[in-house]
Amino acid sequence: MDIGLNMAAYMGVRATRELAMVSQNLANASTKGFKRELYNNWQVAPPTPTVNGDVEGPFYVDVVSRDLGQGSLHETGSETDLALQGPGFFKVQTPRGIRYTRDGGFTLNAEYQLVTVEGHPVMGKNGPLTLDARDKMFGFDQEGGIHMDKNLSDQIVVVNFPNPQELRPEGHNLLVPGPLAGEEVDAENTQVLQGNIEMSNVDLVTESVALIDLNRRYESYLKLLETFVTADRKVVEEIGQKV
Amino acid sequence: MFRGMFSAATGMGAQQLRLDVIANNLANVNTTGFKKSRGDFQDLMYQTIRPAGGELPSGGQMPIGQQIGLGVRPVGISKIFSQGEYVHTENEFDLAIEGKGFFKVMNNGIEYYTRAGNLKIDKDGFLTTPDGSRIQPEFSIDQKTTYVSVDQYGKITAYGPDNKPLSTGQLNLYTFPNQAGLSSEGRNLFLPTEASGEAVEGQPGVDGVGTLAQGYLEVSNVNVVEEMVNMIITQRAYELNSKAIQTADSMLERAYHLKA
Repeated sequence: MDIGLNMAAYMGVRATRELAMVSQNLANASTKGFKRELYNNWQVAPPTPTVNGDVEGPFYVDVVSRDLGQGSLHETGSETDLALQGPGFFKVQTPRGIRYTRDGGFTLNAEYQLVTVEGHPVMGKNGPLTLDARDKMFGFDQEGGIHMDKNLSDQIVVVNFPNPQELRPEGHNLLVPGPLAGEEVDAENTQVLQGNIEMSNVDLVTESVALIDLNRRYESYLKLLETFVTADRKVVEEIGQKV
Repeated sequence: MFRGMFSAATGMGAQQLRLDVIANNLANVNTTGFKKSRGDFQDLMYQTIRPAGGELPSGGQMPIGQQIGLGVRPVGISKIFSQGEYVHTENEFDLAIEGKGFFKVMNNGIEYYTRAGNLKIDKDGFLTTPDGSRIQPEFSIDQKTTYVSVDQYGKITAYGPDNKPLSTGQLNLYTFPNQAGLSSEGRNLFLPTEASGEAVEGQPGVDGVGTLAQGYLEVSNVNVVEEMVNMIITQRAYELNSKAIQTADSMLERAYHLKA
């Protein structure tokens, strides 16, 4: 009985965390390069009988993972907007160290460096990218090569990781690799599309269904909780009196 | 639960800002030389509930941690300096810039930059913008002038009644390392900032600042259909964020009425 009561309470708490996640996704529905977050429940230990005949477990942990699927592409016509089609990340230099991002809404700064909206330089093969385009036309090809008046000058770095789930968001659309992410490698089969940005891959319909679903589940967990409590009270009031 | 409420509230704020930007774009759909804006958003910050790589009760290691995001924040509103469409007006004082350049104008002793080329002549014969800011360097036109021609390289020639050139001048254009960093001052005027960098002067058609087209106007680069679609998406996203707050509220109410 205690296990059932605890489980109902735990599932209720879990639903509230799920709500935090759905809210986070909805709040970032128009954040460029944002990846939808998923709430998963992992069974880490199966139910096991103990020596006195009770059953212990199952034990669960909650894990948050990210849906790394492609976000929709939005054509902007701005020549410093870059979208990645396929897996991989841009590499940017911040005061706190190298960070990674899918947000390709870049601009040029006063020194003609390609920077993020917050002014962090974007890395090319030869360090931070400089696009001095005062009297030249520049363009990016689909491999990320930068052409100044049709001469290949540099290439934007697009990297991937063996375990991209291990890139942790730290806000500001930046990701920092965790200890289990592995070594960065050049992204393969990823196209760089100039004049486009990748929007978030949050789907409003999915999230609104999740919202209804978790609300109803929460109600039923609390109903379950009440049932256990009622049963407990019955034991005390009715069976207890007859003894 | 409260985390969810606050995240959704930041989401509503972001959608509100986005709608403000869309409304301004739509209001300026017929403004000469207007450049549309877009809101840029970033995820706010993350609260780590359980770090990745932690120990599991059953032994072993957590391959994935648990971090809950706390919403969204606006990071900037950037101007999109894509080329607007050209309209043929046949007016000799309408100049369109094909390329990245800006005109320099002087208003109340301050140098501004603009792409709106619907020029006029003030009472002293100087070329000005409709609000009276004189084009720099100043160029005045004699009263006897019958026709003014501007070629694509910025050379202005004022012709007299017998088709003789009365005066000539040179109209130069200015570019910036980062156009998106310019500060919009209203009245189609821009001011340079530290982010935009200093203006670089160039001759039209020679220095990569663009060329001039007389008798044409550059209208705004706002695409009405695109803005309408964005408005619909913004409205729906706003509604759903408010729905998340309502859901949190109804869950709280349910917990409050728990019969124990």
